[in-house]
Amino acid sequence: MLADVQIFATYRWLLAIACTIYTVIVTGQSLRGWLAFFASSRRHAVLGRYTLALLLRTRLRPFAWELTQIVALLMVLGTLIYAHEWLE
Amino acid sequence: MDVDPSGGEAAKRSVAISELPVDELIEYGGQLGLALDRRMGHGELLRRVRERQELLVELDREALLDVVVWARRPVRQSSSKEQLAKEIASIRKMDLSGLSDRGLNALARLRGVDFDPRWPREAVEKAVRSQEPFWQRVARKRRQMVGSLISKLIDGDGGGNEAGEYKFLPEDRNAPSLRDQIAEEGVVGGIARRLRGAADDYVREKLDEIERRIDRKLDEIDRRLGEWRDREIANRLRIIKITLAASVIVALLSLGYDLIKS
Repeated sequence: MLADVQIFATYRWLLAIACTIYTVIVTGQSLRGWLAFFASSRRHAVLGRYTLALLLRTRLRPFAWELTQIVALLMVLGTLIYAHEWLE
Repeated sequence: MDVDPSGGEAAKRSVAISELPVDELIEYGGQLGLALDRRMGHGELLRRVRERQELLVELDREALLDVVVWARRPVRQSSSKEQLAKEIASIRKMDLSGLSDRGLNALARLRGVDFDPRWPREAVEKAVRSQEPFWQRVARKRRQMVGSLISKLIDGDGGGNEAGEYKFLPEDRNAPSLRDQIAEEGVVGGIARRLRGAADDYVREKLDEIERRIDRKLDEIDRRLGEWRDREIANRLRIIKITLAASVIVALLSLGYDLIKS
C-alpha cells in the first residue's frame, strides 16, 4: 500500500495547488487594495503613476545573482522531474 | 555658503550650516570632497564639515587655482575657495606631473592624505596615489584604456594629445557700472536701480537655492523609494528560491525512495 504512494508527485501537486490558490488570493487582495487606494483621490492617482514609473525603472542587474540561483534550481528540479519519469 | 575668513560673516555661515538637516549636510560635505555617512550623526557631520571649512581658510587660493588649471577644469579666476574646492572634489586625475608643489600639497590635504609638507615631492605623490581605493584605480585604468582606444580611432595615432594653454572662464562684467547708471538715470534713479538690481540678484539666488534644495529632497525620496522597491523584490526572489530549494530536496528524497523501491 505504502509502496504505491508517489511521494514526490503528491507533494508536487499539493504544493502547486496550495501555492496557486495562495498567490491568486493574496495578489488579488493586494491589487484590489492598491487600485482602490490610487483611485481614491487625484493626489493618490499621481502617486499611482509614480509607482508605475518606479516599477518600470527596475533594473535586473542588482538581482542577477538571485535570478541565476533560481534558474539553476529550476534546471535541477527539471532534471529531477525528468529522472522520475525515466524511472517510471 | 562660501568660505570667508572674515569673522562676522564666517560666524553667520557657521550658524546656517549647523541648522542644515542631515541629508543636506551630507550633500554639502560631499560637494566639498568629504565622504560622509548618515550613521555618523549630526554632530560628527557638522564637525567634519567645519573642519573642511577651516582647511579651506588655511589653504592658499593660488594653490587651489593651480590644481584646477592642472586638471583643466573650467573656472573663473575670481572663483571663491569654496567653488574651487567643489571643482577639485570632482577631480579623479592621478597623473600628477605638471602640478605645482603648492598645488600638490593642497590636493593632498583636500584628499585627506596623511603627509608632512616637508616631504620631498615624490613621497607626497606616492602618498596621494596610495590613497586611491583599489577599485577606483581599476575603474580609472579601464577608462584610460577605453579613452586611449577611442581617441586613437577618432583622432588617429598622433592627434588629440596636445593641450593648448589653459584659459580661465571670462569674468561676468556685463552689469553696467554705477557711474553709467547715474549718468543715464540721475542720482536717485541710478542708485535705486542699483539697489533693486542687488535685491533682485539676492532673491534670485535664494530662489535658486530653494529650488536646488527641493530637487535634492525629491532625489533623496526617489532614491529611498527605489531602495525600498529593490528590497521588496529581493525578498520575493528569496522566497521563490527557498521554495525551489525545498522542492529540490523533496524531489531528491523521492528519487532515492523510488530507486530503493525499484
